[in-house]
Amino acid sequence: MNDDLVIGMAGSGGDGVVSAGEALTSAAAAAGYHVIMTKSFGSQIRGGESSCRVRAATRPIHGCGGTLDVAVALSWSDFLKFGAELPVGPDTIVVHDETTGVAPQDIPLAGVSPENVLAAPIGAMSLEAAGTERARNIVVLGLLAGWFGIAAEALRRGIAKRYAKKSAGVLEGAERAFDAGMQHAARHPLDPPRALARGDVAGGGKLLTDGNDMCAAAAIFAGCRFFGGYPITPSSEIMQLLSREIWKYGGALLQAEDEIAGIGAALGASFAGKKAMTATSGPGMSLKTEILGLASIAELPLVVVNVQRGGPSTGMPTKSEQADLFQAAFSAHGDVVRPVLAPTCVADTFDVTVHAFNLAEELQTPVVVLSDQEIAQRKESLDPIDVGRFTIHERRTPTAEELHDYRRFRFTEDGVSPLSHPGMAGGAYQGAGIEHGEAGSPTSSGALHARMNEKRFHKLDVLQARRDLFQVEGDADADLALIAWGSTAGVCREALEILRAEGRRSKLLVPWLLYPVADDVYRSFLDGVRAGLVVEQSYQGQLFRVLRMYVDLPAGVRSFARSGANPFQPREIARRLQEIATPARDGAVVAQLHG
Amino acid sequence: MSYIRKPVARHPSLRANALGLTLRDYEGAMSTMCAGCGHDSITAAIVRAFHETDTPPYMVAKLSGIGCSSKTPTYFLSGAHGFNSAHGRMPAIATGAAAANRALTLIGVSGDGDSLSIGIGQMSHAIRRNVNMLYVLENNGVYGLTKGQFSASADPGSKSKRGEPNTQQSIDPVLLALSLGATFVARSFSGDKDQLVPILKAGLAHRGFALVDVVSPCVTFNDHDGSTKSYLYTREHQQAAIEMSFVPHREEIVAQYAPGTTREVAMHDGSLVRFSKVPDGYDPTDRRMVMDWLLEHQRSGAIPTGLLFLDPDANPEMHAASKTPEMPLTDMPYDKLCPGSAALDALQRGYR
Repeated sequence: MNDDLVIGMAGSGGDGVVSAGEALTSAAAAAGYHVIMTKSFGSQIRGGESSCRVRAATRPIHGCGGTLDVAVALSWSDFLKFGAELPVGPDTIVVHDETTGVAPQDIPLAGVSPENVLAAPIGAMSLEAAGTERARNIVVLGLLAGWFGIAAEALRRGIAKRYAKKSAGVLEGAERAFDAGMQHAARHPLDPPRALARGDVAGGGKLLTDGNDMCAAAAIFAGCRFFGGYPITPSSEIMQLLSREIWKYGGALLQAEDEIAGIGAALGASFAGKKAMTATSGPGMSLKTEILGLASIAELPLVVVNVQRGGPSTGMPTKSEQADLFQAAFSAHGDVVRPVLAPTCVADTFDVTVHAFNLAEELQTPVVVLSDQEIAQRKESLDPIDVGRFTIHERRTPTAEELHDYRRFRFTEDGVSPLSHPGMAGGAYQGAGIEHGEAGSPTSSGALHARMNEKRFHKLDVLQARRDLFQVEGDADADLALIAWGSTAGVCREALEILRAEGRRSKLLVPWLLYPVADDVYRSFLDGVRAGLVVEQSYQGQLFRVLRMYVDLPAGVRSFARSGANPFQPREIARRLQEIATPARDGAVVAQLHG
Repeated sequence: MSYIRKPVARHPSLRANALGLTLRDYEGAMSTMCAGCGHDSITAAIVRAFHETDTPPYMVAKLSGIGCSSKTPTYFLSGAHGFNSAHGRMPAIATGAAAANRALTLIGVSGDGDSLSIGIGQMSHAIRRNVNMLYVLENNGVYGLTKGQFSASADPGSKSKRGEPNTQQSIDPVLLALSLGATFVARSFSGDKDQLVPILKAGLAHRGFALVDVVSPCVTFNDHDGSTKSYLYTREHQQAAIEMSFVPHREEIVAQYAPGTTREVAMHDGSLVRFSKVPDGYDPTDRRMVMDWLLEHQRSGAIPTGLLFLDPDANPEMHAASKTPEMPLTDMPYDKLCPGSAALDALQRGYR
């Protein structure tokens, strides 16, 4: 029995491969599998090619998998357009419609074994069962359920639910199409069988959601009551979910005229006393930068989410990349305070967003959440969030006594001063982007400017001790190490499993907190490490470069970075780490490999 | 940057308003504007308007962008919160503050550079959303803080201090606001406090976006011969076309029209704007007529002033349009707002 199955499907816009993938993913989650689904489209809104990749497993998974176990091609030309996104190999089973008339040895997919190519009369079965070729995707679901044993019952329920509102004829046609696929698979069994072991339904199945929805849900949970934003791929779903939900909790949302107004309104709401957020992607982040500086000097809490896409400029808006770290940490005029946090999967997007709100309120500063398209838009199964583990923090407001002689920017031990809001009698102050004294009055004194900068940066000192914003996995005393952030962390979790299964003691550090760099955490993690990789999806290796600014990395630690769109594969990371570790044994090559 | 706290001096003859506060309680720090700046006169008018409307200072948020005009909120209502934000972005900050606390009285102070160039998009959308605020545009045709460049409201042919004529068309905030659907549009002159104060009071009472464009000569960079924004030119060309008075809701409203009164418009808070003099055939609630009339009368270089257009019901105010709760968000206790784990469970069930 298999415990892990990766299915890739591609077709033209109207073929319904993505809706088939969604049906399969929902059914797999309901049947207790761990499942991750990614989808990919050409740049057209309608028509054009589309594809999806569904990975289902009986054990926890952290990425969308590498080479496909099953490839479903409703059209060869569409399938080929996805190239490296849907890689095939000698063990890949290829399912296609027999009407294309291509012999197994002639299929245009390099490296596939002819005995693994299965032609099925997909269109004909659809026509016979449902009276239309539009049910081809449902026939495919039947074939997959039959051959690979995935969630047949849950799929059947899903089809019934989906077509419940259509006419009885349509529902029956869909059910017949599904059965036709199942029966075809039963008549032509795979040899050897490739069925997936059953999922664990003990917990009543799993939730299925994506990172953007998790971010929005966490914002509501954390007390966010104002969202200002502007639509931009791939972050728009955050605004979409909030635009439906936030009103129910007494909140408000502004779809603003531009990115600047989005963050401006969020900052205005924070100034007026409410927790506020904006969300965008790289180009929007560039526009918001000026207000980020204003939030920093005005010491107002604000959560700014950047769902990274391929850049610069329009770049590759529907693809993932991790190349906005420099921007998140450094883009600004002046010395700007803003912690940067990054989630690594759909589930922990909830945790990171709640932490972001807490830090913003506690430290009275903007906090950047750096998500990426991969985790923001992929569907992933997860266990229900246990909110019992969270404490929600509120901003420090002035006491009645403090209001007698209110000084908004009073120097305090930890740098955090009581924050009033309009309508609080006695708490009046002039907030401003201009440098100011303790009471908020403008100043051009260099000495005061220096003290205020020190105050603003001093607030972040507490972050150095926040070990809960880091995860260390694997063998604590290992001399092989990986460091990874964002969606790449999941791939590294699987690389770590491979390395340890091969008997290589190794460990992984995953920071949620990217900036400011908690140098002690890295120093203690890297103590005794002989070879290590900082793995990330950017051309420049941005985290590696940032770490080198703040931490004396051991000589054997180097960058493993490349441009985005195609995710790393666990095996290539494991292999690369072994490569740099092996010559290091004779002590000669390390220096030239470094950096 | 200098900041001079004003000495507290109370004269026994100062009249207290309904809150027991005198005019002094509505003042701010000492102005750092140039002596004779129109902005200081506007500040004084704002102080009077707030005092006379019995507005509690702590319920006011003073918002501004960047520029000479944007510095002035420091010079009035020291008991109010202020936010001197980023260049051209005040309308967005105001929108967020209005969303978070609808009980606040918002005043935005801006200039022609802040509102008509870098922030024209944001001002336009604040008008489109009909954010409940008084928006004072202190209009002098130049960038003062950067020492005298032409702004977008400089009239074609108007000369700079060094004698160069402006060659570009000007943007008229009044016509812009009218075309964007603004519900309250006024123009005034910093040198005409008798006209300006009632307009500001009506603007504070107006539920929605109240634009008050105030010609406010810059004594340092734009008060010379050949400038169309100088004191002299404005005095000669101002045409106080519309005269009105503001009747607060607590005063008994007498049904009988005052002599010469042509029109009364009821505000949402029960107060009244009474137009006492308008040109023949002029209807301040008819947007199309007002635009035509202004285009016709401004052609010759005249500067018609007054509360030019008022229609409180033309468009819903932002909160009314988005049906937000009556209670300000800032007053809602967290336990009422936090959906709690039960709501989260319900949300999560949707993901199954």
